[in-house]
Amino acid sequence: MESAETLLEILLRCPCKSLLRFKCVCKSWCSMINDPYFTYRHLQKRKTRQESMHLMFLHGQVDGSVVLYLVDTSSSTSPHVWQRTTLGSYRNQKSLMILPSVNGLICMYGDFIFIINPITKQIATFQPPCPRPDVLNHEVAIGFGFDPHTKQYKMVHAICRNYRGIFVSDEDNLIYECRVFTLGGGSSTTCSWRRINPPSYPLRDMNSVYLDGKIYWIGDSRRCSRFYPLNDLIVVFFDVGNETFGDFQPPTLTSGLMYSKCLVVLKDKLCFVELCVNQLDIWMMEDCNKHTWTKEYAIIGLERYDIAPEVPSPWMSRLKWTAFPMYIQEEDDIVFYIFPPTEIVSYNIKNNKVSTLLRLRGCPAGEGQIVHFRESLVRF
Amino acid sequence: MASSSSSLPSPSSSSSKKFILRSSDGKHFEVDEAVALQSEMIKQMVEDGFGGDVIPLLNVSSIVLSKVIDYCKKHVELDFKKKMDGDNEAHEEIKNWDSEYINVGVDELYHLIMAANYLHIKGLLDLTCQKVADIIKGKQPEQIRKIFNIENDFTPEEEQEIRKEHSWAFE
Repeated sequence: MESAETLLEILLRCPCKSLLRFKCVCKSWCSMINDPYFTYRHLQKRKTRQESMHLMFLHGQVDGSVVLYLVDTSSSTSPHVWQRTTLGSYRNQKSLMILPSVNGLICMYGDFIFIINPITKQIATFQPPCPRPDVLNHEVAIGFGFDPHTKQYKMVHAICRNYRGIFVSDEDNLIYECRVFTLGGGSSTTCSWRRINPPSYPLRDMNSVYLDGKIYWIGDSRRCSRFYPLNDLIVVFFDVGNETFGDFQPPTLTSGLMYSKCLVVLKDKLCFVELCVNQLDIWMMEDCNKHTWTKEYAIIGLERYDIAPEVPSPWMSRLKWTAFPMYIQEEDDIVFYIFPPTEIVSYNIKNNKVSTLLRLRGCPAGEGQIVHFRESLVRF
Repeated sequence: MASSSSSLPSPSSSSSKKFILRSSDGKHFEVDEAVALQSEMIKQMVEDGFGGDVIPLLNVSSIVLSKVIDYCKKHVELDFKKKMDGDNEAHEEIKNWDSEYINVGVDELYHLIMAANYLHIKGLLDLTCQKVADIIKGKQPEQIRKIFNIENDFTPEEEQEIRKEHSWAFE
């Protein structure tokens, strides 16, 4: 095509794998594809495309190395592994956890931290500010996010430590520390963790989600200075740009028997998931500045009856199943990561039909973690 | 379907406002205002006060223009339908009509892209560019060079370097 503008419009609509190949076509195509502005526009385009490919990640070990798999689930009839990235050997692989993907980047946390773009195969490795605690007087929360203004990626690490007692639940002697690591914030030698003002309450678990410049966790308001009358949970957020924390109320939950909850992002909206004995409710926040929730979906029929509870305690016997919504496809299908046994299922909200997309026992990764992934050419 | 004619029809013969578009080879096309305004470029011209007379489109031949007008007419019609009957049915109809419409050869696609770009018709540009992307996405660099008539200006070493860096993309 003669006009560069027309060519740009065409290439913006090609998948990443094709673009990597097209860098070989000639110098002008190569520089167009390498341009950060192109990467940004390409990412935006794929966000708005409904039919964009939905991929997931598992990690597992093969011959002592950590391997990431990209699984293409866009064809519901034959999901398949279409790419793998080997990260090299890693000692404590069981404890490696994957954070939700941000702009096509994957962050894995363990004794080391890996930031990976599995498409371009760019990998950064660095150490956490302190070893991952294996004692009960520590609580660590981590998050990975993007500052849309400076275009920088940051990792945040918050720790709550009881400097005298054994348990972090001892209210008296707690200290909080928080550090931030900026990727691309200088050469690799000057990259380091910086201390910032910590949140004034512990973040309840390590799971975080990222959306539009903010990282969100579920926090514990019993140790929060502000008073929340209805819940002992709060949603805590970290503004990646100005590096400050804030908080607001989660939805007013209907069931007193909630045994699991988490935050997820669906349709580019923050969602609070409440898992009860046999029902899963998804609350959606329409406007992330107003912090108001609406119950969007109430889902039944996902639980598994074929699994006998392994632990015969009355509390554990209820923990027969758990499910995380991952993304919504074709408007009506919510795709869940569910276990046991580990499966990817899609749930149709119109007819309540559940269909299995992928059984992970047959997958080369075996047991691993799974996150929703949207490909990009982003560099960091 | 295209109301094309080589002689100028009388604008007063119809109640709704009409525009006359002139292709690069001098043919005249009379279209409804809503159809013409699908083009951001024409809309801008009209706003700037150039809409009263015949609108000359120097870069678009009559063959391509009539095809473009087909697109605009159908989308005006379907947009209206969408407003009346609600989303679902019209949405499906647009999808089916578009995929039929775009099922053309690479040459014709190329002319449609150039016209959509020149006339600023976002929907048509989207549709045509996506079609080209779908055609080329599975191809190898050599095939791309052939399709777009591009000369390879990399040295063999340079090309090898890129291939090595992204070897998985060539599998």
